[in-house]
Amino acid sequence: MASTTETKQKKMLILKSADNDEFEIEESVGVQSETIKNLVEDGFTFVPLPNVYTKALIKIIDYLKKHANKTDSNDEEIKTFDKDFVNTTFDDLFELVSAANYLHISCLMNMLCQTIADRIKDKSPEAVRKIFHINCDYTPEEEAKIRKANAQAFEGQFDESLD
Amino acid sequence: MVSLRAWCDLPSEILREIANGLGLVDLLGFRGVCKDWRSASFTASALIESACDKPCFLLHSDRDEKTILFNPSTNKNYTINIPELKESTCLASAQGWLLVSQKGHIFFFCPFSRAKIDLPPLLQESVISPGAAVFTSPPWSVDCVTAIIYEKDNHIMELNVLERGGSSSWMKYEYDCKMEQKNFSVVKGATSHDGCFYFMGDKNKLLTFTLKDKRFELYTIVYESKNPNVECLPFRFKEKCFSRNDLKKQMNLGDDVAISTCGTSYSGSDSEILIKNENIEAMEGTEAQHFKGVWIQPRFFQLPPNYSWSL
Repeated sequence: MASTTETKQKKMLILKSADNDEFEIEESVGVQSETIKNLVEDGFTFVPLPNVYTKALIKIIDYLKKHANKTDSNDEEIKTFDKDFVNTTFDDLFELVSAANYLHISCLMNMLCQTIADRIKDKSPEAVRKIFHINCDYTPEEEAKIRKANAQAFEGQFDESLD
Repeated sequence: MVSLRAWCDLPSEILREIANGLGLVDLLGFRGVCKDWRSASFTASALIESACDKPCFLLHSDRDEKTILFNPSTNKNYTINIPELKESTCLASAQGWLLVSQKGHIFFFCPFSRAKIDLPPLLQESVISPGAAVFTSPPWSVDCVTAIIYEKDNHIMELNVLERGGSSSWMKYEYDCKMEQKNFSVVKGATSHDGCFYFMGDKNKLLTFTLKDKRFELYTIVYESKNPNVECLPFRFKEKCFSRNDLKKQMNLGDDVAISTCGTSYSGSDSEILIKNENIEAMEGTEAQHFKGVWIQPRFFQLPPNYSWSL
């Protein structure tokens, strides 16, 4: 009985981004996010997301739609989609991972964190600081100590590029 | 609209997750970025490295605290300062932990986090090298049992066993090869399986010791047999891993370098694998420079602040 009603009339949700754009999605797509699921269970159909900007939200809705239709046969297609999804700039990855964390979408979180980990592979701490716009808060003495205890690649093996 | 959030404001759970996805060398770098990143990586242990079944090789010496780490998966060399390994000998290596002997002290050591766990001293003053050792599980495990074996006098093997949950000192067991009219002396590697220690000797000899009934048993390893009573080893072993892979060249070491290596046991794709100890000679006619080395899983373990070996 329940399934017939669902096919006839899909339950919809409205998501509102931090920059006040509204998106309508199917409830079954949205509840892959634990945060949205909890709100839906409390009877909400309008979900304000003050921590998620439009640009990231559009991408995340795409991701949720794709993954909601996961079947045995489209495994390869989803893999390709995921690969394209993470093929973006560090700044975009940052927005996406913050949003995925806020929305509690664990599979997306894992994928984004592993992507970031893979992308900082072989980079020196200096290059990592530049990429992530981080100020080093170690004193020069502390840094010298850390540098000694760190694995120093033989010359020329560190990747100093910023992408 | 583009937000101007800063990466350093990233919640620590995200940083933790990123740190968990890093291999050893990148994790060490990650910890050097800033203080927040360092504290967020407290639980990261370079677990990703255990998925690759090739252990790394760590070269150290008595002269210098500088060590060289070679990663065979990437063919890269790194230098790391590890003062604790100066004038030390590794007796055993498993799951990212080393059992180290240094001037009469015995301790567990994770060389990359420099976490160290002191063990009670062995009673005798003797030099336990050349000998071999094995531990059944990581030193934080309550079931960790450590065994060190060496040739005490002519034809007497002395085994020292320390059970974490048991006695606070080492228990001694002797195996008299002469009395048994058997020949077992040099230990070339050790591993354990299911409450039994396996010590590999030369000439295909194998000495076992079962923890439950404290009994020694001597075997000869055969490679093929039609005898139905022949038992199977619960692990595979590899010999001459260093020389066969031409690591001297890979690590840019000269012909005058001589190395005594400590093997390791690890889980391969289909079975447990023991890399045996090995002695690499310097090229004849050169004045040998002596080094030590150990095969190790490149893991990063920190001890909880309230950790103590005795339970």
